Amino acid sequence: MTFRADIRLERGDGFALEVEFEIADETLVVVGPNGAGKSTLLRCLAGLEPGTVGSISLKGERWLARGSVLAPDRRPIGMVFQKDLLLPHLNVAGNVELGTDRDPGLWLERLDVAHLWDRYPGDLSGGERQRVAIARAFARLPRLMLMDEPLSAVDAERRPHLRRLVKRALDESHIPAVVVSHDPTEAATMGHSVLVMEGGKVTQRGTVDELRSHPRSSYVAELVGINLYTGVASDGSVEVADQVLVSADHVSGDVYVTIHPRAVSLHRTRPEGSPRNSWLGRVESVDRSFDLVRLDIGGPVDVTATVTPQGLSAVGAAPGAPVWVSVKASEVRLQPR
Amino acid sequence: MRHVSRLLAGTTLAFLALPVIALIARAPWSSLTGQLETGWTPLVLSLLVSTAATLIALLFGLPLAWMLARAKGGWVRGVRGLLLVPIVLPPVVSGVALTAAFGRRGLLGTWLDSLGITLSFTTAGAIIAVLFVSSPLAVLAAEAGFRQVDPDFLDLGATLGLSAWERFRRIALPLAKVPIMAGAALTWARAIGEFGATITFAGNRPGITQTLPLAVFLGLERGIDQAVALSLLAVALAAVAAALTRLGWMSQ
Amino acid sequence: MSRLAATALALFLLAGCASRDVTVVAGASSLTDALTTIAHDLELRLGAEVETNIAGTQTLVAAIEAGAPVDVLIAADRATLRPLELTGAFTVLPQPVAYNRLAMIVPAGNPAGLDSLASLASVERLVLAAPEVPLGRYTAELLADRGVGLQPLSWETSARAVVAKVATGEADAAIAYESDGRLVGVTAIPLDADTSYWLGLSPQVPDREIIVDYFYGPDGQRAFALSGLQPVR
Repeated sequence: MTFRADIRLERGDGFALEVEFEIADETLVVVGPNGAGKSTLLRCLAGLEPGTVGSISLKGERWLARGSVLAPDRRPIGMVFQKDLLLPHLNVAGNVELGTDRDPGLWLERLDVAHLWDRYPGDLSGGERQRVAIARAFARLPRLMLMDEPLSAVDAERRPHLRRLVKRALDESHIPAVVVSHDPTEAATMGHSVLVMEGGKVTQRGTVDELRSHPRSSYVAELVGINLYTGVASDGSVEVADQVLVSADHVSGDVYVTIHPRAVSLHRTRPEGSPRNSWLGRVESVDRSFDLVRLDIGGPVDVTATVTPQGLSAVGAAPGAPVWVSVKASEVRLQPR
Repeated sequence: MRHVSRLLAGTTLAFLALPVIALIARAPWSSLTGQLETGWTPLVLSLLVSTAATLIALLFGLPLAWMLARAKGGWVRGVRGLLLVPIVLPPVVSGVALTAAFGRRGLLGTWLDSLGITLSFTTAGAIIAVLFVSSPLAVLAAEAGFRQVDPDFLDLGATLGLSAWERFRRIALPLAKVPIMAGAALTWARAIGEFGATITFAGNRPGITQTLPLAVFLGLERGIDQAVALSLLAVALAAVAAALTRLGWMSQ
Repeated sequence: MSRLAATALALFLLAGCASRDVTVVAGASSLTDALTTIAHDLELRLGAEVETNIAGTQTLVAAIEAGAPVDVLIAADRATLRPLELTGAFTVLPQPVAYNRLAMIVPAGNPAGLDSLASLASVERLVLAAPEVPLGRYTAELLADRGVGLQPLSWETSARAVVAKVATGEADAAIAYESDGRLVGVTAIPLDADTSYWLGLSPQVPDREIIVDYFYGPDGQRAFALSGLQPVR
């Protein structure tokens, strides 16, 4: 089953969207900064934006083509919006069976809301409502699933659990899915590939690893935690901000410079030995997420480093404290721009 | 400042309550049953006519309200202005207008007459008269109700495969239920109270077009006691209408 | 906010203030045309402002009973005035001040060729005045006298309403006053039945003599003729 989309939309406020992609029975995660057009993209695919031009087709069935448009209610889609949009006058079961004549029981169970079947939306928590909305979208057995930040209404504690439920539901249904997210972990775990949108256009498409190793914009770089700079290299030597970085890549000309946060070493005192790149910086912020610690370090060049908690205590870094930074030349990667 | 506003509020309430209280006080309680004898038929007729008119107003008015609520063009303002006309027109003028349109020699009436259909002087005519003056209330209230339905709910309905009709019936209508019901109650109440248009277009035919307000007016000719007694029936109807608006079916 | 309140209150009170220098003359609706002339004539004679009030006789009486300030009342029948006489609110002059005649009202040109009271029995769309109003009482008396039974389509609440139904084509015939036959679109066929108008005066009315002389005199009678009424004999 191939889902193909090649669309353009021009909105009255000057925003222009131009997106083209193709997916098989897989989940495509769409990421991008606010205002990039991610939600708009989903609406276009659903048929909710009348000005959309181009072509959309699912397994050859044309939803949008030159001169013909299939109305949204005729497209076999399931859509989860940012708001749960549960109808307040129907109970959970009533909401879930809204788009289908089939028994909603199975999907209520899959999303772990079966015990709430006769409750009304007003009595549910945000997370419960979102699970009902997701069950509702799946219950009509769509052939394309569209999800707009499905986990955002859920608090951080419960997010991993819901993420697993959704991923399993997506995997088990064997349908193409387009999921919008702004969370890199979601992007990494829920999707098979990632579509990066900025300013209404696609700036990158690939797997998470591909994005991580070859980020094409600072947004992507930041998204995957990588340090990205630009500069002019002269046989592997490039000046970035106030620091000259030496790279093992013998490249000259306009380059992207990337340093993986894990390649940034931290020391209490000036390091001895092989690192060709070292400088004294100051810790700006310390952020613990999952099993890693991220530090933003200011200095002649600003850099982000990730260390283990043990590594953190070893170097004794805290916000405001000075810290020595070193990066091996082989970890400073140069790519022609 | 709070005292001034309380004083004004209290005066308003007293002003509105006093005539009703005076009416009840003035009623000829001793001879009431006798005086009321002539009131039952008009009462039942009023209920019939008003309820029929309200249902028709909803049936034809809700789709119009739905269209108005979602329309983007400037024509909406024109239609809304048109809807205000029957509300603003003096009822007798409405009656004259209805005669000009549906009377035997009226614009549409001549054609109806050729088909053997007469509307004036019939219960159908009475229904039309109250429908004309009260249905705009239903439409305007429903439009306001539909307007406050979050359009995202309708988008959601589309993604669930619901047709336009189903989105209207299963999403918009239930979500706008409260304002629509309030509009229906107002329509019904206005219909019950209609006099000028009814008597001008439908005439005064006991049992056929003589609704309660007409009976009260004639009762006035017979003597104030009779009018007050019949008016009590109207007050009772108003109380019922008020009670209905407070019942469960008015709230979510 | 308080300025608005004060203005509203002032307007409200001013509207309610009736100047007692105004003489109010009330008359049945059939007298609509005559009353303008009557008011004008009386103003000249009394040297004071005269206001008119036109409504169905019953409505006027009910209003007076409730305290409406009417000085002169010209009523379409005698019976209605009795309650006012009993309470002393009005004195009614013993002689009628004008006469009218009942007539069949038919569409202009009398297309159906109706010629007698009995012929009305064949009219399907017939309207009569409701028995609660003076015209209705006169009609009922007439029909009882002549032994004719009629089933009207509608019982209208005033003479003008009765005639209007024929004028707009909603009714094919009616019984009303001959004076109403002068309206556009209808023809009146006089029936041999008289109705009288009575003059009632409130005790406070100033210049009684002038008023009475006017109404029974040539000028007043000429005014009544403007409404198609018959003069006193």
